[in-house]
Amino acid sequence: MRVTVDRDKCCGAGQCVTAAPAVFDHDEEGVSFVANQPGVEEYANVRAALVSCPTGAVTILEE
Amino acid sequence: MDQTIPPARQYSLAPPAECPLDEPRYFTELRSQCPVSTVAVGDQQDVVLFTRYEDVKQILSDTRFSSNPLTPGFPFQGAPGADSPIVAQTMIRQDPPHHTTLRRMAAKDFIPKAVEGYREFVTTTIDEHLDAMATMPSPLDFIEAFALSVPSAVISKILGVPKADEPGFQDLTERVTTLSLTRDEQYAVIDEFTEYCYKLIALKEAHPGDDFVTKLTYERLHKGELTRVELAAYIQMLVSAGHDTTAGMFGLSVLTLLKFPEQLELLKAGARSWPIAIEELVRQHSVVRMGPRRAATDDIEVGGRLVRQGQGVIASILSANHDEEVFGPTAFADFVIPETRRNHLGFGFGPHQCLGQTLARLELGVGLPALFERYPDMRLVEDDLTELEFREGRAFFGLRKLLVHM
Repeated sequence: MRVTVDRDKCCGAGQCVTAAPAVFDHDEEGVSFVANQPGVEEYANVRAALVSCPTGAVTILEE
Repeated sequence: MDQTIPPARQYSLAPPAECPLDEPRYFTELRSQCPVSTVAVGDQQDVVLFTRYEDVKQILSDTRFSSNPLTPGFPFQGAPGADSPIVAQTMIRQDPPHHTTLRRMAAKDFIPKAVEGYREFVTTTIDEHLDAMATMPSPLDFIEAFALSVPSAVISKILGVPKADEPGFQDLTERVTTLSLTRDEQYAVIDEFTEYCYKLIALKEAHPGDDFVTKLTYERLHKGELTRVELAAYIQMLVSAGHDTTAGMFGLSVLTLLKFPEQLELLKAGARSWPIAIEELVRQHSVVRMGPRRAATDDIEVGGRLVRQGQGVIASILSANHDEEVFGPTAFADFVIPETRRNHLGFGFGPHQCLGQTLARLELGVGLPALFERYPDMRLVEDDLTELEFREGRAFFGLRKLLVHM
């Protein structure tokens, strides 16, 4: 799995970081970014991040 | 033949008299029979009301539905002062790209790792309130003793509002969210609140502190990125939304868990998790329930209905959060804590989703378990829901008073 965050769409609600803290982080502006591409053990958390992101900023590029 | 079109139903949030904790009955009927309907908001007769979860989510995600009350068609009637030039400048009333710029001025102070930095203060504040309750005569009013004062103290600390100002801003928030005021009265309260915010900004200019208002004053106002009125509007929004909503949730959560002792037992036994319980309480009560309201800036089809450019829309979070197709039975009487987290819309959705949700979760997540641990024998004075005092005619739902024996 590879995942991205669209920084123009991100509103800093923090859903992805809450769902998958090992994958997502916030930069100094409070905008989310992918800190670590997910390992298999994080797939479920990344899917939770995808559905809970309020602005559709999280995209799973390949499964 | 003379055909009369029946007047549209007036949009109302009045709950059924026999259960003030349920959604309005007509929401339940609309979802099954007519999920997209036309309602009247004040004298605006053609506002489109969306009641289903998927439709509400779609509208809140689509920024062609404007949040700005000055956009033609915006249904601002019955929403206090929403069309005031000051309120119209708040971050929550902007559309992208300006909304994005304003929101990012605050986002970094409310992301999870920033909020984690407030944990110690939140915990200390809650412990102090729990200690103080032990010395109060029983029964006590939980709203006054805890539900309102804890979130007030927390937001004051974060924003840098002097402790002595708390009763003042609680009163201003109460008045600014009172729906029964006339437009002139609403504007007057907004002016009063704005004056208070100007004083707070001046205080920070004279005595800068390690707080959010100081930061916005020096990093944004003094650099010309925010005008003084924009900053005052920003502070008003953070102050009122930052305490009154969580206050509502504290009172309703305690009431719910005391009414469903078997659910509370599951939490105490570790058979259900507090974070999931809190999500469920936020969903069930949906304290921010006036809308959200929007105005279409284009012809847009949602849920099989074409919304015309310039038409007002209500995407009801309260109704969406009770959509039985997503959540199953959702009357208050059906309350159960699920085993897994459900994606409710209690904090909204889309780019306007609640900025302070992580802070709200922290306050409720520390406060509720600590309260029930410290006072395991707490019980309601009044068991009959219809006898309870709710905040009538207020923008944020909640209890006015909740008497409990500690």
